[in-house]
Formats: sequence, structure tokens, C-alpha cells
Amino acid sequence: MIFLCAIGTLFLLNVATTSTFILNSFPQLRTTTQSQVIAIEGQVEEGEGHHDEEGETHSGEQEHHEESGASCSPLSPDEAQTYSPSNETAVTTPNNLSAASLMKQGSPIIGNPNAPVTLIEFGDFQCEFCARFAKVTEPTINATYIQTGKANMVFKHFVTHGDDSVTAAIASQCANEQGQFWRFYKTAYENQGPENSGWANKENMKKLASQISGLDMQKFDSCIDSNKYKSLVDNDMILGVSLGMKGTPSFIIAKNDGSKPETLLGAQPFPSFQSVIDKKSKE
Amino acid sequence: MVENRDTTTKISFKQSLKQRFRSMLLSIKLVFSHWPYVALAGTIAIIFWIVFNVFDELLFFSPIVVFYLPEDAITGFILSNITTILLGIVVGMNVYVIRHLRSIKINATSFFSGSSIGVLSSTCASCSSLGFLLVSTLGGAGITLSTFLSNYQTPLRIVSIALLLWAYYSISIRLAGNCKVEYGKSNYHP
Repeated sequence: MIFLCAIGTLFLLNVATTSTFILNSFPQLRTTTQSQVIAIEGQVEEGEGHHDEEGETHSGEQEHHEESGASCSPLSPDEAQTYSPSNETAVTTPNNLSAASLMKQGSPIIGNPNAPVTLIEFGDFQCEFCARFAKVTEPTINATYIQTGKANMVFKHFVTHGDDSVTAAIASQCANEQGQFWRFYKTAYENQGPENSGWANKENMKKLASQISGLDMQKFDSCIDSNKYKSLVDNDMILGVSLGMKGTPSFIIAKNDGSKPETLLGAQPFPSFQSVIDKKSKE
Repeated sequence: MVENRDTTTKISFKQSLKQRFRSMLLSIKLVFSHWPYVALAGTIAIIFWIVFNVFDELLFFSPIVVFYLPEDAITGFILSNITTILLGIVVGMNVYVIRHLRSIKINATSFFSGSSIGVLSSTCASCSSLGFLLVSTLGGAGITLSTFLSNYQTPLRIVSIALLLWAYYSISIRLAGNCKVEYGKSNYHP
């Protein structure tokens, strides 16, 4: 009996490593992170007017964040307490997830922006499961729903794998600036190396980008060197946390206006996406 | 003379290997000739199979129950299957030992470390919520830890299989050894 109890304990301990146990052990983490999210989200909404029609982010927005000191610095306990739960819900209103709003934020989109369903991927270029999704499932989704105009797909950065992930995310946005995000997306995942081995550092990102035809490398290099899209990547990360994302890849499938969002966790196969997208189309 | 001694040693080593292999098979027959242990081993193997495949993002329960095996996951899938089978066997044998042969000490260290490493290595730490929380709590150290778990996934799985094999070997040798009659030490005097 003792042995069986020990096995049970071991099993529970192992399962707990996935998240719940640790999260419950450090509830203050969740509170702090969400408070940061709310604070910065408010500023993002204020700063949305700084984006132009092409989805480019003006440096003014970055300055705005830097001035307020809120881009990634933790809030003081006093500041954190000022946010009520009603403010928290304001972060995840459907408007924030509408295709139009996501495009305004500078996020890359593929497919018809007016398609009835929007699939939002929260990914990291260093995550092996994201690479699995990009190689195995995304091509089928693309052929079945995106090319046929039934859905569009938006990419959001959820960088949890270290500094190189941030670099890769910035590089992808620099490619997006020239309308080449989805080529960069494919090339990066096809050439993915071991996590934090240096394959996603600035130099290698430049080499990787040089494989993409149609990219102005001079423009790309200066963009990546200036960390132009750092604040956009930070904001994506914050949005992901506010939406309850805890790993990559994670997906939100919603109506085009951002309503009725449904979360899908992990590099699921095509039938899982099919069931949710078809459901959303009929709703 | 030296050559003769070497030959003798080689033969005895081979014989000893054969004996050990035979006792490993015998111990499996001994334990799994009782159906409750087969059921227990099967249940444990199925539970861990589910855990491994959920962590490997091959098996999903929401929004629909679905299993798939992409090319990049084949090696990991084979290794995790070996681990689950070994876990079932080792747990079944350990329970048998506890119930029937209380005097035998089980090799708990190998079993627990083997199963723990097996489960831990099956998660892409950084992709899962574990990695996210490791990074949020430990910062740079969390990134290092999750990177280690992700990059050394296959070697860690092999280590876990080796540890479970060691646990199986030691328990089966003890089970078989328990049945030996040691004439020299016998207290039987006709």
C-alpha cells in the first residue's frame, strides 16, 4: 500500500510540473503579471493612433513606453492595487481580437482580412512544437480555409524561450515591414536549431533573411539592429498573458470582429482546428 | 596457464550472463502468471502512455479527442513507449515483491529516478506552461533549465530507460535469488 501511495504521489508530482502546482504556489506571480498587462494594454490602446495604415509602428510609440517606464518593468505594489477586476476584463474585449484591430497593432496577417473567422497564433520561433505546427498543420489550414477565404490567420509573438526568441520575433516583424513575414515564418521554422544555441541570434537572423527573395537587406539589417519592433513584441507578449496563454503554440479562434473567441492549446492536428473553425463559421 | 584461466573466466562470465538473463525471464513469468499483476502493469503503462503523449503534444482531449504522429515525433514516441512498458513491468514486479516477499528490499532509487526523468524529459519544457513559469519565476536560471530539458530530451529519455532497466534487473535478480537453495549455508541436518 505504501508503495502504491508513493507511485500515486510521484504521478501527481510529475503532472503538477505542467503548471497548476507551481502557479498555485506562487499566486502573486499571476497577480503581478496581469497588473502589468493591464497597465501596458491601456497605453497600447492610447498609442494605437501612432500606427499608420501599413501597420508600421512609429518610433513615437516606443518613446511613449520608454517615457512611462512601463514597457516591461514591474509595477510597484501600490500601482498594482489600483487595478480592479473590471479593468482586467477590459483587456480582452472582442475589439482587441478583431482582425482589423490586430492589423492596426502591426501584427502580420495572411488571407482575406474580412474572412468570417480569424485564427490567432501565439508562437515563438525557438519552440519546437510551433515548428511542428508550421510544418504539419498550417499548410493544411492554409489550403483549406485561408486560400479559400473562409478564414484568416494572424501571428502574435509569445516569447518565452530567452533573448534569441525576442531577436527572432523582431526579425520577423522587420520582414513583415517589407511584406515578407510569412516567408520568414516558413524559413525560420524550416531552419530551426536547438533552443538558445545561437541559431536565432542577430547575425544568423540576417543570414536567414538573406535567403528570402524580395527582402531589402539593408533596410532589414538596420531594422533589426535598431530593435524597432521590441515594444510590439512586448505588447504581444502582454496580450498573450492577459488572455491566459501559458505556452506555445497557443491559438485563439474567433469571429472576424473578435467575438466568441475559443482557445486551442498546443500543436494540435488539423481535425482539431477544423472542428473549431467550422463551428465558428456556422455561429 | 594464463590462457586457460582467461578461457575459464570467459566461460563463467557467459554462463553468469545466461543465468541472469534466465532469472530475468523467470521473474517475469513468476509475477505475470497472476492476472492482477498483468492488470496493474497494463493500467500503469496506459496511464503513463497518456501522460507522455499529452506532454509530447501527440494526444489531445480538447476540443476533440485526437492522436497523431508527425515525423519529428517518431523517435520520442518509440522511446516513450519503451519507458511506459518498462514502468508497467517494474511497478508490477515491485508490488509483487512487497506483497509476497517482504524481506526483499526494492531498488526504489532507480525506479523513482527512472520514472521521474522519463516524465520530465517528455515535456518540451519551454513550450509548455512549465517553461513559462520557470522563466517567470527564475528568470535566466529558468531559461537555462528549460533549455536543458528541451535540448537534451532524447538523452534524458535514454537515461530514464537505462534506470528503469536497472530497476527491473535488480528486482528480478533478487526475486530469482530468493528461490535459490544455498546448500552451504543450510541449517538442515538430516
